[in-house]
Amino acid sequence: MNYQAYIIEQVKRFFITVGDVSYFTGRFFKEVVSRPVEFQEFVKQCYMVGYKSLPLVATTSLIMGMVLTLQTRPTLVDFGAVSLMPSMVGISIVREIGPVITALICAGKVGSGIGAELGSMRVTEQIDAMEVSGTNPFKYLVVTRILATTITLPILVVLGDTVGLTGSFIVENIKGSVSFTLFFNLVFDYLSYGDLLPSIIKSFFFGFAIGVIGCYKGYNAQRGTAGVGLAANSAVVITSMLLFFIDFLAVLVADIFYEL
Amino acid sequence: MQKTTSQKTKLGIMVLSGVLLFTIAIYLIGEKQSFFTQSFEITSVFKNVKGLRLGNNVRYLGINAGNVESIDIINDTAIKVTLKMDLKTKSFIKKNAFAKISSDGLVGDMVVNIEPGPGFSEGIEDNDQIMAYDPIATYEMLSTLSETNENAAMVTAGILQITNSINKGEGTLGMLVNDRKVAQDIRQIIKNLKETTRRSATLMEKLEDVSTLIKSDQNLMGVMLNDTSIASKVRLLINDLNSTGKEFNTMSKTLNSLINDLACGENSLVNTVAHDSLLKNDLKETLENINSGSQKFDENMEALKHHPLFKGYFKDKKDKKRKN
Repeated sequence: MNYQAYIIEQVKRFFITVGDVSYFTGRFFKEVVSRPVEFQEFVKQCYMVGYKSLPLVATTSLIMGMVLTLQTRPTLVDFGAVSLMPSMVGISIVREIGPVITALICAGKVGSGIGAELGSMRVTEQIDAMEVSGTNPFKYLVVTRILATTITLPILVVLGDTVGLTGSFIVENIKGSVSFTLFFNLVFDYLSYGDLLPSIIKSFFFGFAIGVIGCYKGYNAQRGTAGVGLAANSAVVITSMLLFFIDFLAVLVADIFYEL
Repeated sequence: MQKTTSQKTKLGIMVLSGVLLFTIAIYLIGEKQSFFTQSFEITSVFKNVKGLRLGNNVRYLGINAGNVESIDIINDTAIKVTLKMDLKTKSFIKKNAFAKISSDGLVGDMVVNIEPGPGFSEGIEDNDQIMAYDPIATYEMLSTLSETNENAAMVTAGILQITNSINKGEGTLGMLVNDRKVAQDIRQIIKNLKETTRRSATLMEKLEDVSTLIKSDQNLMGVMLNDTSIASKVRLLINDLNSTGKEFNTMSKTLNSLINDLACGENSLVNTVAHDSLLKNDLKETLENINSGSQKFDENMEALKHHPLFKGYFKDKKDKKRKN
């Protein structure tokens, strides 16, 4: 009976959380179109979220591109289809690996950072103080961060894709003898808008999810300093799971349009 | 403030780089699919498109020149494929070109290959329809191959039977193969043929020498064959001979008539002398007188040689004759 009550309680809490997140998201859309616009804070958050994440994203993408090439090359050599390597790596990175890896990196770095920062502000009552002083903390803290993650993540994805393909080219050039021009010609030979646009569009959703979950967890942090760590941790875990769910939905929707 | 400006600059560079790369990617993909190039459309009707999809490449002479714009089923045996072609290729594609669908490598996508047709034709126009070449499907190839195999087996059996007959010496071929005398005869024929061939070769060499000699303008034949001016001269010569022959003919007739007049006519000289005895005697007497006069003239001349007045003259004449 206790388990049943526990499960019911967990389900109940899940729906409450979903409802809270929905309300939180609705409030974001309401605040984002209302004045005043916190542009300076938005730019600062873009810098923190985008520029500060770039080295990590670039390094990860470079290694992913190199590893992908190293892993698949022997098999393609066996089949005598090594000339398809750039096309295969290009499609893999642009359609799936680039956006997902970049989003996961950002979820780990940015999502946890937002959750911890807002959580610490909540537990130290800085957010309450802002409300008392007449500043809209939601607009200043939440809207700017969600907008920053939503807008900078696609840019990070494009940069990450480029670096990943460059990593693949480096390995391919060392192992084989393909020129830079031929490599990127082969990459774009098999790429279409059906590969690139869904990947960029879903990156907006990834960025939005990272911002919303990180801000929600931090903005609603409780139980003192322990709650800050919990907020940061749960922001990363929930965002990572949500990213894969969004990715699944995005692939389904993209496939419908791609088949047409 | 300094820090904020620096942050903005770095952020701006990052955003611009991302947007630029995205734009380049959009452009490159669009260019591959002929979105940003001027294009024209042509169509072709296939029986089977073998999995061809929208956006697949179209190649002209192996060069990417467009992509598949649309695929529409017309009826149960005809599928209309519209090809969006790069305008740069328009001047090279002719109306008699034909399209065929093939695979880009063993594991590649399907592509439409456009090949030029035989002979001369006008340039293609927008919305023109070109011929489609439907290659034989795999199952059709296997079916044909099976039939060919059966035929080959039958032919082989027939050849085996013929070979057995030949080995046994049956039939003309068997006799030719197994009879030693025939073989010797054939060997002799071949030997004779070889000799004939050798002689023919020698003859041909001689003929070749003669031909070379004739061509070289160093003899009459060569001159006659090669010198075109000779022909006109020969023609003139023949004309002269012809006219001379006519004149000779006329003269011959005249002489004939004259002889007839002298010998055969009723009042001819011969007839008159023959029938008039008095004239005959007078002529005889006249001839005798002439003969006598001639002798006397010889005697006078001899006497004149010994005359002192003419002796010097005859002596000089004799000396000159001796010197010569």
